[in-house]
Amino acid sequence: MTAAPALLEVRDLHVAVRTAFERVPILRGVSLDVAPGEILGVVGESGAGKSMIGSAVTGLLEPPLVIAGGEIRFAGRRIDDLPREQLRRLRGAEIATIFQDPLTSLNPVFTIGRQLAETIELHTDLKGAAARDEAAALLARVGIPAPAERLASYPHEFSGGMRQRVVIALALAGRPKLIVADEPTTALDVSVQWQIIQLLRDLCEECGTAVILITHDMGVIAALAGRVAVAYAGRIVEIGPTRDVIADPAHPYTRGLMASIPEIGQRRHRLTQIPGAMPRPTAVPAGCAFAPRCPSVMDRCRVDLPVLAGADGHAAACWLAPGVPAA
Amino acid sequence: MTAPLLDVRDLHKAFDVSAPLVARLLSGQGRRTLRAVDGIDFAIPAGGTLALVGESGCGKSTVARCVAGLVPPTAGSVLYRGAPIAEVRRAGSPLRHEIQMIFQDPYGSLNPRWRVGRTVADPILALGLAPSRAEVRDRVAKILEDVGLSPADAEKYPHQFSGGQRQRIAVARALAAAPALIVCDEPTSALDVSVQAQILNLMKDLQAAHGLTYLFISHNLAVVDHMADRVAVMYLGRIVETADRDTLFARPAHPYTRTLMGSALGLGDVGRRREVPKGEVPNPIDPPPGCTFHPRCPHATALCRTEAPALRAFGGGRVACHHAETLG
Ligand SMILES: Nc1ncnc2c1ncn2[C@@H]1O[C@H](COP(=O)(O)OP(=O)(O)O)[C@@H](O)[C@H]1O
Ligand SMILES: Nc1ncnc2c1ncn2[C@@H]1O[C@H](COP(=O)(O)OP(=O)(O)O)[C@@H](O)[C@H]1O
Ligand code: SF4
Ligand SMILES: [Mg+2]
Ligand SMILES: [Mg+2]
Repeated sequence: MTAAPALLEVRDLHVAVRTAFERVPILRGVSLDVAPGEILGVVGESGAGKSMIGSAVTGLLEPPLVIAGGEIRFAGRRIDDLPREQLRRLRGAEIATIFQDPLTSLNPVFTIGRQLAETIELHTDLKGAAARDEAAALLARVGIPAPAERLASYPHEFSGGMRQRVVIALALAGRPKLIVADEPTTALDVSVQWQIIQLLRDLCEECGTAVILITHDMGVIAALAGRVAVAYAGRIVEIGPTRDVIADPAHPYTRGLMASIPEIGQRRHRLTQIPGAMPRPTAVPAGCAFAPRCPSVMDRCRVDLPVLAGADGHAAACWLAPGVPAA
Repeated sequence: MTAPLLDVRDLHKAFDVSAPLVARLLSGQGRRTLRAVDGIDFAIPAGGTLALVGESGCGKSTVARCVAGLVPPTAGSVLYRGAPIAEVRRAGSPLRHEIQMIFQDPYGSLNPRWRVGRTVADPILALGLAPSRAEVRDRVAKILEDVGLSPADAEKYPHQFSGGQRQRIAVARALAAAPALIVCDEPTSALDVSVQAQILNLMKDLQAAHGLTYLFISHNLAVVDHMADRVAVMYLGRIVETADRDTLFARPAHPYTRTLMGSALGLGDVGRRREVPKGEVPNPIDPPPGCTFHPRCPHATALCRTEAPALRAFGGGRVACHHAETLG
């Protein structure tokens, strides 16, 4: 395991949809750590709960979604039970967000210079002209040509890729320790996607910013993340160094996922397919949620919920994974 | 060589994107046209799969809609079994049902108020492919099984299915019309990868079983490599390179094809740094002069900035680049 104390610790996190009539578990015991400066990928199919993990960490859950158990610690301090006001201050300053659609982070009626300067003034000691200079410097760092002139532009005057660069500048403006990036390149064309990936990696290395990189695309993980957590039906089913998880996946779901991805030059006649689909939150089976689709399923899997276990920072939640105690 | 099943020649499709008249008068601006498809040629032999690949906005869907006869081309021709597409698509044409289409969003293309059985039976009834009610029902059941659903699913509505199963329903509806050519516009782009694998496998199985011909559209090179036997790479409404799959992937000749391949995110080489492609696709209303790729091309010269390169034979395929020879 990493020796450095974790920047973010998520312990047995439960999130549920709570209404007067029902309570549907969405996250069912998620645990993960993020070390300072590292990029942790969270990958999985749609509906696995990836965005929910991001929203819980950034305090963006809105009713009927509630934290139903567990805890989240940031820099040693518990943040899941903070009053809204304090949480808002933390967000933006120490924890920033980047979403798939840059327009959710940008206000269409203000110039980007104003939006950047406001964020800088709110979260740093820089004011007035100094904040404006810092805004231009940030735009330059994210690769926007003629940054001083572009401060006067509105979001709609930028292309999709340039807008996502502006959002990255905005995220960095408060000099956060952690960025939660939810599908940051999903809406972009492949050539532009690669530009943004490289940019994120370089900037976070330079600034020592940690990132939780949420994506459905294992290719993005391979390019960016040092470690990866695989989410399935509201739980983490495997976590470990990206290199190890890709080369030697320990969970049958990860194995199936990896084998189902077509690769250039591979020329398989058929792709490996996982039968069926991920269960909806209202229909998650007892025991291992992957059991109905698993090629290696045993009787025990349908009854007992496997927990993450493993060695050298690579763990899987499967009764067949190496390092798991026998029944 | 036998005649191709589909033959597209010098296809153009332009859209009028002018501002409203009053705004035009005030600004003194004239009419503006966007050349979404700007003169492309390709042919697909029966039983083959041609993939059109390129980034969003390059004109793939517009080509698909022209081929399926959903929009008329501005110029050029689309010939199906040698007949103009407008004739093929005319009501009462005996070939009409042979061309079917599958879209990216299966939900948007299925009638939400129809049970699946009705959706699949509709083309069978319309074409008179089964003489009695009982035979229609049998045929629907058989098709549902062919696409990996169960005959009992005929009683359900589209919203009761997952995204992947809905795409199976869309495939079933296409199959029900006894098609020869299926135009597939990003059929798996909205699906998770494990479900994408199911649908791609299904499409390959059906192609083998029914001798289907595919025009397969995707922005994902790995998917294209998996499905196609011939590939055409599009950029700003034109084909910049076309070759059989093996040639294209082994020896990509056009700088744009190479850019696309360099940007494809594979699982090999975890954390590898690579050359970052320059710039973004320009607005097609105002394409760059000369070779439209020149502002992003690492090899552009003065010639590229003024003269549009023609698509010409090169290295086993065809490529539209002035400097293909010297790039090696
Ligand atoms: N406001 C909500 N009310 C009820 N269910 C929700 C709500 N938001 C998300 N969900 C459900 O929670 C699950 C996880 O969603 P999400 O975290 O967005 O998945 P992912 O980001 O992995 O695609 C999904 O099944 C989704 O339908
Ligand atoms: N009905 C339309 N009116 C105006 N412009 C259109 C229309 N349909 C498509 N376009 C434009 O034509 C270009 C090609 O679009 P499309 O064929 O959908 O590309 P692709 O499928 O490759 O993403 C785009 O710039 C798009 O905005
Ligand atoms: S013609 Fe010139 S600009 Fe166009 S791709 Fe070839 S080298 Fe590049
Ligand atoms: Mg999400
Ligand atoms: Mg399209």
